[in-house]
Amino acid sequence: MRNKLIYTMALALLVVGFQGCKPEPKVLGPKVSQIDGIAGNWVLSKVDQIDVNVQLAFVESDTLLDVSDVVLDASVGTPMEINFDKGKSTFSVTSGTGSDMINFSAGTWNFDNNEYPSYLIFDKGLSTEKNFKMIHPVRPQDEYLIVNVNKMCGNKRTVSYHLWFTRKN
Amino acid sequence: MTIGSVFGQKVWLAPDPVNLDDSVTIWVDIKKCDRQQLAGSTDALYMWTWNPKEHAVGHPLNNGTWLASNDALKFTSAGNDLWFYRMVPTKFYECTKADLYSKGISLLLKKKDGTGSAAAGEDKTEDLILKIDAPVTGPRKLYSFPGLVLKDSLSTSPADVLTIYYDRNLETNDTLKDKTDFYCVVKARYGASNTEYIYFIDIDKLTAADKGVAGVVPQMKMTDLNNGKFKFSFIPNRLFASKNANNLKITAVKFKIMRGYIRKTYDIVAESPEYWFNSCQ
Repeated sequence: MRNKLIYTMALALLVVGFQGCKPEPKVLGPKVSQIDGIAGNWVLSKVDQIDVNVQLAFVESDTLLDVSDVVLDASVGTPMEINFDKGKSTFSVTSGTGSDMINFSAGTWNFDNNEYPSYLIFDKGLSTEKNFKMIHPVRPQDEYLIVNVNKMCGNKRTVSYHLWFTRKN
Repeated sequence: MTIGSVFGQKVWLAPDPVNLDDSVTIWVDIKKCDRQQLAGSTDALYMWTWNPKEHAVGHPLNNGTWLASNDALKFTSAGNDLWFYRMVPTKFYECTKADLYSKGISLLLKKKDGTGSAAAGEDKTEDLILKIDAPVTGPRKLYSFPGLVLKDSLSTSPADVLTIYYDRNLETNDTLKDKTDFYCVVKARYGASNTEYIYFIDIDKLTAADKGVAGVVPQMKMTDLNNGKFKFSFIPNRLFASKNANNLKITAVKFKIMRGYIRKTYDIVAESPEYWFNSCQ
């Protein structure tokens, strides 16, 4: 009888213990807007070159090389900047080193999907339209906007670059 | 088709790189040949070949006679004085790939009767030599990023970044094995003719006046990666902007690795490759 009492008390303590470990429910904040995130000024700060013809890569350096020192050579000029206007969906480029990677001075911009964007689209619907794949989300708290630029020769992709823009606001 | 075919070769193999155990095409551009007796010919043209092997009389692929070539060696016209012939080299010559790498293919084109005339000479091209490089495997002393897509061709344009690597660990020149002051001296082939170059130092005609490399081309200094490897990154269009006033198309870059001050020829890496860009700018 005495043993039964001890077992019952131990079981009750165990149950109370487990309930004490139960995590507090967390409430997610409002969904962040990537349209808000991209708005503002960005400056080109890093450029990675990607060899698209490597068929067997063992380490990242087999396919990717940081070429910022060359593209953003300070002796040549200051890096390009880009401004995204949220209200008008327009962008403008301040020319500088790396401008030729984008080859736009101004135009309109869109996401392919405003909630879950994968592509940043310049001049949508125009003959000059270009799509840049986004490597990373661009929420208001993100420091970088990273896009992939493919260089083409005819229909063939010859090389790619990852352009890293740092928020300048 | 090799890029060399576009830029002035008279004979080439396609595809490039080539698999000698598979079907390949030998192309001949009569317009680029030294002898022009066959230019504009509407007569059939035939191959006369002797390397890596000449088949004996009676063999179905024997050359035939000078007055009557073997029909099995008849080339096909692609128009505009371009002629081609398809074969599987190891089967055609009944030889190994090693034979083809070491001896190449020697041939000439001729009319069925190659006699010609006393005034113009025989109806044939000069001897045409196809050198076939063995595939490169394993570590390389000189290489690029992005890598070559063909034997000597890049997929990129001269507006893109090109990085040249030098792996001193694979150097056979003892003088260079402990040195670190390396410069990647580049010259660029440019213009429509593909025969003109722009350069700060002409690496093909080095003179005593060029020995102070570091002072002439400080912008071409290689970065020491501290593992026996060195690299030099550049954008060809930008590097040669001051030498290319008319902004002519750069079609290739040729480079030579050398020390900052040349005291003797041992201060220069022996190899001097040339890399061709894509046709887009």
